[in-house]
Amino acid sequence: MMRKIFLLLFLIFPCFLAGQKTIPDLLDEVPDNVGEMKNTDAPSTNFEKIKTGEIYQEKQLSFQGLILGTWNYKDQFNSNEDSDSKNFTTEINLIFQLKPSPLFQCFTDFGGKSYTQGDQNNSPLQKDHLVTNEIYFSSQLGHFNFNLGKKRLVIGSGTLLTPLDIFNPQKALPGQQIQKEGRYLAGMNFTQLYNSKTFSQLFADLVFYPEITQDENGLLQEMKFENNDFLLRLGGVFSAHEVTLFFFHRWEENWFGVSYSRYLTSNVELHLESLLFFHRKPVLKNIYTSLNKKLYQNTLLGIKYFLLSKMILTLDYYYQSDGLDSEEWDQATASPFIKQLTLFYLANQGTLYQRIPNLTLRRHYILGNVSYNNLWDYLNLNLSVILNPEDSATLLLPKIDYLPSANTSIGLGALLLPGKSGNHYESFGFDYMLIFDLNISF
Amino acid sequence: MKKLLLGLFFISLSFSLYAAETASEILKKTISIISPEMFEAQIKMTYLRSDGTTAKYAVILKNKRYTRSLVTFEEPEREKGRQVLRIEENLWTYLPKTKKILSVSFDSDFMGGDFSNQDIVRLNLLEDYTPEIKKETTNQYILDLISIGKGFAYAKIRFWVRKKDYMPLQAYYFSRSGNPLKKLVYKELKNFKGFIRPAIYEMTNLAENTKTYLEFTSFKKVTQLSDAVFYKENLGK
Repeated sequence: MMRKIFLLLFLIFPCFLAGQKTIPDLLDEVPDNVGEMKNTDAPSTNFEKIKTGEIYQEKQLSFQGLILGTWNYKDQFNSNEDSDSKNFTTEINLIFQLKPSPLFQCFTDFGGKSYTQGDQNNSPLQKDHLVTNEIYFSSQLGHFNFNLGKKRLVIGSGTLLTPLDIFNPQKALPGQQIQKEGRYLAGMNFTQLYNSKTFSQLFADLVFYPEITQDENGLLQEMKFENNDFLLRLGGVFSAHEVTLFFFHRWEENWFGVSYSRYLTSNVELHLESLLFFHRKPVLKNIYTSLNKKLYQNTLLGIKYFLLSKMILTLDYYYQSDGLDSEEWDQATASPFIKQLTLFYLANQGTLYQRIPNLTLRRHYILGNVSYNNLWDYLNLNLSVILNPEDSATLLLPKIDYLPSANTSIGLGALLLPGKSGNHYESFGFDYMLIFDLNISF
Repeated sequence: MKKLLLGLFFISLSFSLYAAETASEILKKTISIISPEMFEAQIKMTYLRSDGTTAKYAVILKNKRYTRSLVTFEEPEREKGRQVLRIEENLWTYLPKTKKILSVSFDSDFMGGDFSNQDIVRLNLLEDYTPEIKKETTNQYILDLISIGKGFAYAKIRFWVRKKDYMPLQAYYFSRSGNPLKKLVYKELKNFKGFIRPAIYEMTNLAENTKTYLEFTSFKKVTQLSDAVFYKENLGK
């Protein structure tokens, strides 16, 4: 028996050795591919010929364009004949940047959008409009940067959701149009970099948002100074710790925020974002009219893990203390009539407040995201999950983007709501949505 | 006898100090060619896929004192305006479509090619590695660069330098377990308005047998580069 084992090992061992990579000795001279300077050069690779000594010059005027086409189909699994609906949106964005010097920069983003919605019963509804997403001036004077005009300012760094999102433009969830329209503001930023690994930068922002009336194309019509909003932001990077403190004055209330992130190892990031306030958010305040005045806190705590240098895994816990508990949710949906009122109210809130208010009505959420970019160099894969353990509301967003050329991407995805009956994601009004989008940059 | 031993000890110590200084001097001269203290460069990156097709990117790289780097994508069109910013030990990417700034890992690959973010914006051979001369041949120095800590992507880099002008020729990047991960070959000496350096880097991923080329189409050594270039506030502007 022992002889057989030894014989087997004797046969296997050379095969094992043959399978191992041989580490080269690497102590010999290597071929000199650098060569000598030549006046006429024939590149050794198949590249275009390099223009000798060409110096890069910053562009003073740059232009960028984007055509975006999105098609959605929504339906229910146990559907009756008229439960489905289709949307088709085409959008053209033209972005110009004029940069004659750091002292003066001008940035504009204009868009034209055509939206068509149709279902079994009604004739297609079509809306076309032109919108000015951004138009602002920016100036850098030493450590100070000044911005004036209509600008998109995005704060917080959570992948799917963050408590600070209530101050941001719409999330770019699959099937939802990115809200590119900014807000009129006057802002000042101060930044100081330090030559130190322990304290590398300090920054502060003061942003003032006057009350604005816009015309149908998003341009300034009237400005008032009665219900102004403010944002004060102060932050720094201390070693690998990035900390930012926020103060907002919005919807005539005060909000305090904190954002923190640091890399625990070279590929694992820990992040925390929290928002403190003394009243429920407008979208939740009127569903359940509790007058209890206490400190609320909404917090996101999670990790981001970079795997195999191409894959990013994110896992977050989102606690929303002003979210509806079971009793409040039951009251908000006590009868079909009250439920309809609640859903109608939520739908209307979307235009003035958080664009997708029914995503986070309750208290506890688990958020997950997996993305794998450049799979075979043609595909980007993404899977997002939002799960509420209180009533099993679940939202799944699988999406594949195919990159056939340098300026085109074609996306195919779905938004699935597989939770148990009666969960609060039923307020979406559909069980699944198929998404097809086409992006062409020029 | 004691004095003799003491003398031998000091002689060997001074010899080893001299050798370390020499390795350090060689490395400094080479680094001053491939990565001077401040520069702006325009780079085309070509990734040769395993199926024979290619993916191409064009970026502008600005670098200041080995601790601040900014990469701005010019091509392909769908990535235009994307930026990668490094300040000391922190790295962020700016996504123009969503206007979001996200922190990213140094270990992630750089747009799907064989270079990592670390290779492009962080690799500081002078401060993060201790050089020693492994071998000296007629025409080349062969250096071993050993990482000073564990938080670096490569535990060791073997580096070939041309003796006569300190031009870099080749580098092998090793993992902590001692396996070679990547091989970098420097090619094509070019004169960028008086600054002479290799214009092409050929990086081979030894595990996947894929190649990525960096082609410097422009290189400008500068004496001043404003800190404002590297402000997070100025991403997207």
